[in-house]
Amino acid sequence: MLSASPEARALIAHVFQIEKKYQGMSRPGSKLQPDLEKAVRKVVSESRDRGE
Amino acid sequence: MKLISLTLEDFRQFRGRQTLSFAGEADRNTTLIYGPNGGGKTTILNAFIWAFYGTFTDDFEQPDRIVHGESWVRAADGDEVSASVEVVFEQDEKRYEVIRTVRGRKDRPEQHLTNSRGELRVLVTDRRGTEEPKNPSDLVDRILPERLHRFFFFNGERIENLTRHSAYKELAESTKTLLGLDVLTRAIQHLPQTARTFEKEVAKHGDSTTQELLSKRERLEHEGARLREELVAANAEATKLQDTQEAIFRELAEHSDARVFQTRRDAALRQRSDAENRDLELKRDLRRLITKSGFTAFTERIGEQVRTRFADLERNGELPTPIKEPFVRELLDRGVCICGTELTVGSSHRRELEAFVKTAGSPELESAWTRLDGLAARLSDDRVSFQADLARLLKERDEISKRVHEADEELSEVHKRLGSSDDTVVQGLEERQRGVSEQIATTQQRIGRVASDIRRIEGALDEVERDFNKRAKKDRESLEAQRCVEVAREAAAVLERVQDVLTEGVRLELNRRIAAPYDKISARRRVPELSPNFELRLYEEDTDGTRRLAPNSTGENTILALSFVGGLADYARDQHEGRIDETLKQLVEGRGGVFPVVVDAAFGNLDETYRLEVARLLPQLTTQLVMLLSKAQAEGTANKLAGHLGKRYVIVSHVAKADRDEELVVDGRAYPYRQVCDLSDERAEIIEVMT
Repeated sequence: MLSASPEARALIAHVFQIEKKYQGMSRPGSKLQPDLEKAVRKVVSESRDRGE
Repeated sequence: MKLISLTLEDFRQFRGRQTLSFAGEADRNTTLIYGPNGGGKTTILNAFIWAFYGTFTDDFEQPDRIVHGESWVRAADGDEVSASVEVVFEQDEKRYEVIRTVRGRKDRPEQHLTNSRGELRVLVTDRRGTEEPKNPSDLVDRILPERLHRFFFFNGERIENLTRHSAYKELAESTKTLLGLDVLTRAIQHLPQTARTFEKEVAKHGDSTTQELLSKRERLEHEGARLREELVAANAEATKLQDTQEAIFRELAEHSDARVFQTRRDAALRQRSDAENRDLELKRDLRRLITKSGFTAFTERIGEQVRTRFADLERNGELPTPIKEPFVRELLDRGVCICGTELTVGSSHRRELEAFVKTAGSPELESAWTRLDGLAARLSDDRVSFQADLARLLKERDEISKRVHEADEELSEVHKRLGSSDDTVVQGLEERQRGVSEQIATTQQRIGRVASDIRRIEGALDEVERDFNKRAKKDRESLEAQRCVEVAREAAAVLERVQDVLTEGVRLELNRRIAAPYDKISARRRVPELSPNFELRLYEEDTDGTRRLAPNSTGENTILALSFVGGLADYARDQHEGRIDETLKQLVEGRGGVFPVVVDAAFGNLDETYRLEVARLLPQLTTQLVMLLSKAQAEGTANKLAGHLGKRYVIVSHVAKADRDEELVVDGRAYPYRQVCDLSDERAEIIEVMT
């Protein structure tokens, strides 16, 4: 059975959207990393605000 | 993707502008193109590949001579010379025109192009009009990723290569790409990089030890990455060596002096491989048995003691106890004994009764004893059953070990016989295979060593991570950055597990879909399977369900590979049309697809029975089929395709080096097939067969 924290689950949803956005690009890393960092900060701060 | 047409302009032997239109109706989905050997069939297959990706198949001769020879010769010095291929197809209610053009300036007599990939343009037309995307290569790769083209545009004589050891990586990666699982792979690669960014943030706030831990972590990760690369290289080397060894085995099998020994060796190798696989299963069963019931081996005395004590208690009348504790408490609460004596506080009667509370039987204790006695009895049964299972597994492992030993002896005997053969060719081949075999063993040892080093590094990384988490400063910024690290790493770990589960699900589903076409073609009772590490294998089954690797033959391998292509196309189509599991659909949205199959020399090296069956089945494997066949290859098989044929063409080869003109008769009508001409007029010409 797969289990994950609420933040990790929320992050995975963001990650899929980001990866699909850059799909097909030969070297997406430099553009994609800032989006991923933003997504991680977002899920962590939202979780903190909800008091989780 | 539904192919509409292919237009060649001064491309290779096709002079001028020539167009083929393709059949694409559901019941008439097949286009058959006849052509003599060397006449241009392989060029047509390669025209698709070049138009889409700017490359050719590995076996395509003189790939740098793209412009029609005579067009180059006739051009004056300094003139621009060009060739182009245009593929028109439809997909998702859009029409795509893929046009690749190569241009060069004639500066010498022999053909010389500085960029044989040429330039790609794609025009996309829908109801709103026509657009030309800025990055056409990305667009083409999204529609049919380059690594997948060899499953849909291929030469039937080489498709059996998919069954080689070295193909596993390509099969695994291509399957994941086609079914959209590489979104996961990319996410798993990218998230740790994100985590590292946050780690640096944590370290910025931390003391020198925290920073040291971070450096140590980076070193370990670097070392881990290096080892993983080494493992990939070692695995690639091992599979290459296995392919070489298999090729030597095939050569030996074709040699009359060696055939019988090679057959014995094949059987011994299969016996060894079956035995080793069974041994792995037995080891796994042993581990499970010991984990679940191993403790019972140490409970013989405990069980006996419990049972003896329980029997003693029963015998002495202590169980069940004559007086229960709640009854004594009730008397104390009431303050009167059953004999009528007052139990006033501080009286000697009350004190006696209070002391009795401690010795009176507790119902809970009684029930615990009863349960314990039951468990002790079961423990004894479990121990007996554990010992029996253990003995059975160990006995079977002994038998397996004997089978491996027998196989090794047989292999050694075969090696001795072939090594001392009177035939020097056989001797030489055997010597080579021995060398390769030793190299395989050395490489396998290296793989084991590297894998163990990787496990060590991963353990060290876990330790560093724990220390790092403990030492990180506890101010708000650090805590938040630390949480970001944890969340990014956790998401990566979850996705890795998801990927494993999905890949296994996809593999099992593919196996089901590969089996269906295989059963239709092959008369033999065999089970095709994509193994857990994505090797395409064929097993034969005994009536009792025992499985072993089936002996290889080119024919069977070709059918196996074609069945894989059919299964993959079927799965990709269902995925594209949304007929797959809902969870999978959400994760891999936007992938899959409907792809045509374009196949040159579809029947490879198959004998007639198989050829007929493949001809019958191929149109059913895919929504659209383009087959390129010579007159000899088409013999007998064209009838099997008749019900599916929508278009037919003949490539007429105009060549100087032919003795005489040759014709091809289709439906009673004669068409030119090979025509003698002057050297300066050599070319391939496409003509449509009349219906």
